[in-house]
Amino acid sequence: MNLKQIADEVARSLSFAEISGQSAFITTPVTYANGTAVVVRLDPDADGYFVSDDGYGAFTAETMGALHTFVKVAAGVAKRGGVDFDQRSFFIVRVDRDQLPAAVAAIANVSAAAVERTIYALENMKVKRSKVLFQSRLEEAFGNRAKFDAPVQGVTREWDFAGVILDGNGVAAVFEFVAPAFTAVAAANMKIGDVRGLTDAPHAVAALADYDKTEPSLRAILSNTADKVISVGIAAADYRLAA
Amino acid sequence: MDPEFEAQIIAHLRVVCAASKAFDSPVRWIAVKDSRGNERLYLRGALRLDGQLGGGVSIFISTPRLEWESDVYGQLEVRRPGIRGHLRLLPIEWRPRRRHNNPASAPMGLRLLTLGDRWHDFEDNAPFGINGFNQTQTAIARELPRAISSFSDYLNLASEIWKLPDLRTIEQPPWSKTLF
Repeated sequence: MNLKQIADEVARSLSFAEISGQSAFITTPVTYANGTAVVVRLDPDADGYFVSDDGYGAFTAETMGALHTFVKVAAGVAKRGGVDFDQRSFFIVRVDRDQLPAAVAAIANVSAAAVERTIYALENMKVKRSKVLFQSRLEEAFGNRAKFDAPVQGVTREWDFAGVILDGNGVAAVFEFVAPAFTAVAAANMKIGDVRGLTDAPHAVAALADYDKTEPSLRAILSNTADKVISVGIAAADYRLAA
Repeated sequence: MDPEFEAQIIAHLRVVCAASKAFDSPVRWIAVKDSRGNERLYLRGALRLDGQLGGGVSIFISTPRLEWESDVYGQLEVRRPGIRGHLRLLPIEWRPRRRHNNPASAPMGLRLLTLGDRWHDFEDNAPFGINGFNQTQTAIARELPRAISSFSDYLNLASEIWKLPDLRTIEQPPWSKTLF
């Protein structure tokens, strides 16, 4: 078999159609994040074709326990993709025969994109929950000595820190909550560096919202500036040790 | 995710896989219709592990109403504090309309396989952490351990994989044959 035949074989296997009842189902090369192929459904209508994802983007989110989040993000994804969404399916109505390839591609991409956006939204919700955990740990460890989003004077200017621990002499320690993003790490590094430049610098701790998702190189940069780099999920007793 | 927390979750999933399971209460099929009148059938219920309710485990099986002995999807769902949504465990798909492509990172013999009938073995996926179980990355699937040709065959196989003998007692989905 020559290369052209192999390539044709691959191309045919990536996309093909099946008929079930009055509907056609087209397997596309697009896949959801979990590896499942996106299949687009065609239904003949009075004025052309009705093209949809058959509600499978929503079903995938349902198997993740994330249908509620999916429905919240789907409208925006549909609008950006130029298609419609009806709380369950992405669809395009009144599609002419010669418009079907573009319609199928649009629906496949939007359905997969909506699941990706759902995953992203869930991960951002995890960061919010991490912040709540961080604050509750500080309260448990330091009681009313812990202040939140409080200003601390550095060498060059004042900075707001996510957690500030006070004692009789003033600021004993600063804790900065750091999301797993380049900009968050850069900002934390700058703040901690400026405060650690003080003559009587407080202890400085970088508390990572997601230790594993923060790149090792970025963790190392924080380690160069902060006294300790911790995960927000550690026990309250370990917060006291870190300070 | 904190590595220690992730390890605890994986350990819990392993316990769930190994436990003998039973329905906590009778289950039945329900139908959900979309705006075009297409119906999907669902069967859901909490499960006891080794005779005790707890551990956040339930069963989920779904199939379109207008199919007949095809496109059946089933999974165990595990909910845990600190995990948004739920984790998918041991999914089993029979005559699915949608294929699955294994990732290039899968072990030899499973790498880049395209599968129709399939299931996800826990031990194939556990070394890769939680992301295969929360479906944020492509999990590793295998062919079914034996060919099945009826819904009762599917229930028998699923009852073995999920260690859920009660599954053999559930009724066939109320499918409606499509009329041409």
